[in-house]
Amino acid sequence: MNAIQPTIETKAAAASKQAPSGAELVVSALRDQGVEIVFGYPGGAIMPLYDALPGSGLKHILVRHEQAAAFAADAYARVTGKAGVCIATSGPGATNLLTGIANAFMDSVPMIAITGQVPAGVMGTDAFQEIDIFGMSMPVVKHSFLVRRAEDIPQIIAQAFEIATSGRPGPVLIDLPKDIAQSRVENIAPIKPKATSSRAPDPSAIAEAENLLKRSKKPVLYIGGGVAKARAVLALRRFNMLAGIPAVSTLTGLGTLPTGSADFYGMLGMHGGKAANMLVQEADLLLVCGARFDDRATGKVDGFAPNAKVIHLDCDPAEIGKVRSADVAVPGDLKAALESLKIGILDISDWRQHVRALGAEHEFNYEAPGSGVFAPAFLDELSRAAGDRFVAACDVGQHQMWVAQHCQFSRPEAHLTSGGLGAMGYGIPAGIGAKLARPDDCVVTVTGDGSIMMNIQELATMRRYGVALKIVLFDNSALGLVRQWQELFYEGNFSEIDLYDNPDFAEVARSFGIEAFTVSRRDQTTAAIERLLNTPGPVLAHVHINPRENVWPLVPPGKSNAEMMER
Amino acid sequence: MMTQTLHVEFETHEGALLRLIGLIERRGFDIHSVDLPAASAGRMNVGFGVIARNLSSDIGILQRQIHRLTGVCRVFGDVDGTDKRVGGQHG
Repeated sequence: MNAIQPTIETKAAAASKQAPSGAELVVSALRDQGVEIVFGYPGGAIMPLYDALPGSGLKHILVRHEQAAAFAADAYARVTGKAGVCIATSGPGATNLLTGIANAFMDSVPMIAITGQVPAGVMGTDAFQEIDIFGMSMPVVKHSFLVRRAEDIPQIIAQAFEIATSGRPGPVLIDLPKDIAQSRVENIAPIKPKATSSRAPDPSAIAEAENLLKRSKKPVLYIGGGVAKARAVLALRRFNMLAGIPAVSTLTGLGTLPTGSADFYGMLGMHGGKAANMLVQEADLLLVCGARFDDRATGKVDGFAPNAKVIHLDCDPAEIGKVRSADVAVPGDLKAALESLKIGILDISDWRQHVRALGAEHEFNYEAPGSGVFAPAFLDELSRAAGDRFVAACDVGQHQMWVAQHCQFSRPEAHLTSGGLGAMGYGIPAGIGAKLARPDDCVVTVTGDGSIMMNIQELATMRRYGVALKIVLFDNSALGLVRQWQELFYEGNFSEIDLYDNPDFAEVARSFGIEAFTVSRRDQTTAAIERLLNTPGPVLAHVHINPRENVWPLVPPGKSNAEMMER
Repeated sequence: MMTQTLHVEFETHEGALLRLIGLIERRGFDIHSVDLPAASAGRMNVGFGVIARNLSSDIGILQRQIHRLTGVCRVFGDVDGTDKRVGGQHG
């Protein structure tokens, strides 16, 4: 399918010899930071910036809702490791960005969010589309700027990128009043580079960690999303290739060790694998790398790994001891810490053998009654067929957990998921951001009939730019995860989860100009996956599944990970 | 619960004080008193009297959470009779 090219004329900055405007400074500062793609949606207060975009060299992706701009920028950042950039106007444009900014904050994703603001002279007067986004966003940004002088723009943007990408990454908001964006700047303030240094690991803490590891009989490597954020994936793989410590991962740490690699036992926690949870419960030592003991991973904290000492490595000192106290704390450069750890060959062969047996005993079972599509088996087959270039961009719900449990991930950026915030609507815009960043990868959005409706308008963005994203939509005509909890923990009182009146999603997709087909029987699985992967352009597979299917295993809320419910 | 004192030295960027107060409240502490001297040379040193809302709220963790804010130079407090300081550069 051919992409529809936008028809906006290039302004080419009018080749004027007058001093640059604040908006032109924003554009040139973004280019200086190596930005190629920005995601956004124009409106009144941000119009000066949009006036400066044509001919600027920046590719702007016009989404159909500002939240999607933030989600797409988030995914772009996750797969490239560079800060993603999103743009919105003041008022509702800015507030629509907030969920996406919060998502980036919760998962420590580098992002620059630029919002238009009403002119400085009317700020504070409740002007049309005026909202205090600087104040509203404070709890969900790493930092924020309100631009008061146009000449500061290059410095602010350089600083924003530095803050967003250094240490523990996160989103930075830049609120830009319209008059400042329009004003001409004769004297631009020089950029003052601010050196940031990462904290080297304390040698005495490393020595203590080595001692604990050498004495341990049942160590477990507990991997979080912070390993990839610290660019320490190879260091961790090298470390564990030698150490051979049985490993588990949080939701956002998946792919750090490739799925299926020796000594890796999958995700722990509420919907973790039984073997993963059991081995953590039996451990006498946890080597925690870039994880924050999230409640979805630990279950009831008091009952979590009750016999284990903890070595905690994290770039963020504020995470150490926040939930679980550490016997050895190693704050600072995670990559350097992993490279410093020298433990030789551990005497843990009995433990490894025991854990291997646990893994074999509790492998996932892909047998299911009936002839309907079994989503876990579908996803297992899909990710194997897609191979090492597979990237899953998940929405939120049962399908998100099935992806985490059953897909094969060769690298951390192969699994894009709204981990901390759990934001429905992430899947399609995240898939768009990832596919634009990595056109040669096989990016698949896995969504549900609840989630897709949160940002379904982005099918238009896929169509407009010819984004060859594959979408698997598991349709159980319900808000499945809520339904599951109502069944299990609210005595079957099914309240407001029935989506019986869903549209025909394949027809909806076609009306957006996206190829689509429907799958309803298990024996159609292989053909559906082949069609999905072999279609060169955007495509949606509308897959009907059993509305009563649940995600297993499950640690009930408030229970220890030792108390898993099984199918 | 006991009132503990926390001193924060920070650069007076736009919204810096609001950011600090918001963080302290969000992370499980009530602000009981504020000692707010005038800013000098672009910096301010504010003293907060804080009370933990529950026993699990650790003021040491709060200090580190404050210190990771951009523009915070130093955090120190009289915690359990001990002067505990958090300093240095953070990303």
